Amino acid sequence: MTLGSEFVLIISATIFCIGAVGFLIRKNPLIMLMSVELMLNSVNFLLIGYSSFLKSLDGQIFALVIMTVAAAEVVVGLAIILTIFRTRHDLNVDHINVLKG
Amino acid sequence: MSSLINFDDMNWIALAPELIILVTALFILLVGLNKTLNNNRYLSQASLLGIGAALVCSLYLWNMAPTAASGTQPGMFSNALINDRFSQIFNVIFLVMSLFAVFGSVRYPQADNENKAEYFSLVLLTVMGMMFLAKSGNLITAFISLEIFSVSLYILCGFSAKHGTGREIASDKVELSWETLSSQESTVKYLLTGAFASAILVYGMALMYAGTGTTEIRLIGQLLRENPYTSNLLVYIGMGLMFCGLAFKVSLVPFHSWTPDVYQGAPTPITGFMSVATKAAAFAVIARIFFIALPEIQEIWMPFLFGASVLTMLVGNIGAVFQDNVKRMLAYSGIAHAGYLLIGIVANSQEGMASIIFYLAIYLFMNIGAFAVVFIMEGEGQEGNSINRFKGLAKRSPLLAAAMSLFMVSLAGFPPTAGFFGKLYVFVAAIKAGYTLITILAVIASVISVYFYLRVIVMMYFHEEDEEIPFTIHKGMGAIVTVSTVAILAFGLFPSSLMQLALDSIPF
Repeated sequence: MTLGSEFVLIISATIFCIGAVGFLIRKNPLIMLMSVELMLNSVNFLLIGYSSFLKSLDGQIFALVIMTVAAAEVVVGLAIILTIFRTRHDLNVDHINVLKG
Repeated sequence: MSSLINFDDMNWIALAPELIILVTALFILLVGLNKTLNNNRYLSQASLLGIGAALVCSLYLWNMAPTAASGTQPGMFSNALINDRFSQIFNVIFLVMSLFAVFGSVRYPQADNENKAEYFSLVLLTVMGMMFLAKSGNLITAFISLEIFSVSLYILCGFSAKHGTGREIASDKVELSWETLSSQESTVKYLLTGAFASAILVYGMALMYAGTGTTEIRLIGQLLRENPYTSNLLVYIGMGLMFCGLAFKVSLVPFHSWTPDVYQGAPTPITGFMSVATKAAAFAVIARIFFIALPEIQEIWMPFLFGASVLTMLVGNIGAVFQDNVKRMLAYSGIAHAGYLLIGIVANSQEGMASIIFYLAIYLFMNIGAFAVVFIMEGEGQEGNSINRFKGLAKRSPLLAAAMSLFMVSLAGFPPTAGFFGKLYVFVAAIKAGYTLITILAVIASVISVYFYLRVIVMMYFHEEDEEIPFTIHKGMGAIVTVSTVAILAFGLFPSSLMQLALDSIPF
């Protein structure tokens, strides 16, 4: 059985939307970062799927690059969230609200 | 699918500025290990040396770069990077910007901060990412370089926060200083919105790849021109998502809400740097994508860019009216200026491109000058950037007040300052392309902006100071203010030479 490009498109769009909705409704920065990872993985799925349909290697290279960049971003993100947790002992983004106007 | 590596187009010389900056950044990290050398003075001197060398290189390469007339191919490294005058002139903008940021970093990082070397190193790495972004000819390189500078900026925004040691107990109620609270908030907001925006951007890039089968920006343009059937729904959605992702980075309405908070909480030199440099970097890639890859389907994207531009100008300027904090006011004014810049993209012509370069070059001096004065006047705590601190400045320091007035007048766009010509060229490009409506709306928006720019001047000249506010003008800050003033006056009196330079530098 071979799967069509629509399949790849629909699955990746679904995962992307789950990630985006998760990012928007969750209040915990860790879960929000995880949602972003989900979005990036849906991109990888789309790229690798289409790379095989289009018979071009660009998509696979792009997917590798995205994995690397996502890892770097998460390292920085987790470090930032950790330093904040250390001083506040509270991980709700709604409580980070001193700047407004 | 050929797997051979092409060594012929590896033009390392054209990458000299980036490589110099990279080596300097790594060198500074090493220097920071030595306790005696780990102070702001030595580190900033090393950074300035690197930036200066890269600047000279960029100016030389601008002269040597292939142009439309010379007929040589601008692509290098299998078209992953593009060496043209457009990228080199953006290099100059970024490098001058970082020069100012390093000069301005006299009080940051603070004396008790152990990570001084990391601060300067990150500033340089940010600049390197931006330089690669302006050079990128492939969506993959564009994404990597965008992430390099974004991730470095996430860290820089949180630099004035005090970090925990890991030994705190949850029951301890520690009173956190305002600097720590605001810097933490700034970095969290920038990190989360930035990561979200990157994900949207890269999904757009993936859809663009799915629709056209290539990630090369120039090839996408060629495919869309030659095979109209490639412009399918995937390309349209991909284009939309890419625009949304980039709109986050340049803070276009409706993706602007993070901007004032992030700008207010970040260290002031970094805010000044971010406000111009990220905008320039993102506009460089927007210009490449929309001007090189997607001009064929402009009737699809034009209404969206048009709407975003008008909304951005109006919301930015109206938002700035209600701000009492000068840093927040400049953040909203930055949003509005992104709207003016977008008009140049909407015009979708060579003049439009040139006017963007011109505007960015001028915006650099106006904004960095204004931020330098804000930095000089900055105080401790929540009211440290209040507009009330400017009361009666004209009496105490007439020169500083005059310089600040010039920056404000130029940002508002009065002739004969440079800011007027920046707006003028953008508007002329729009009118020539047949967009009279957007020009009228832009003029209305700039009339609104006059109120809050003049408010600062009124505070300085027509109010008595409430209390004596001490401030010192550091040599570096004085130099920034002087250079910006001279540049604004010079470009205001002789705008055509700079415009000619910009016209020579449009991408082709």
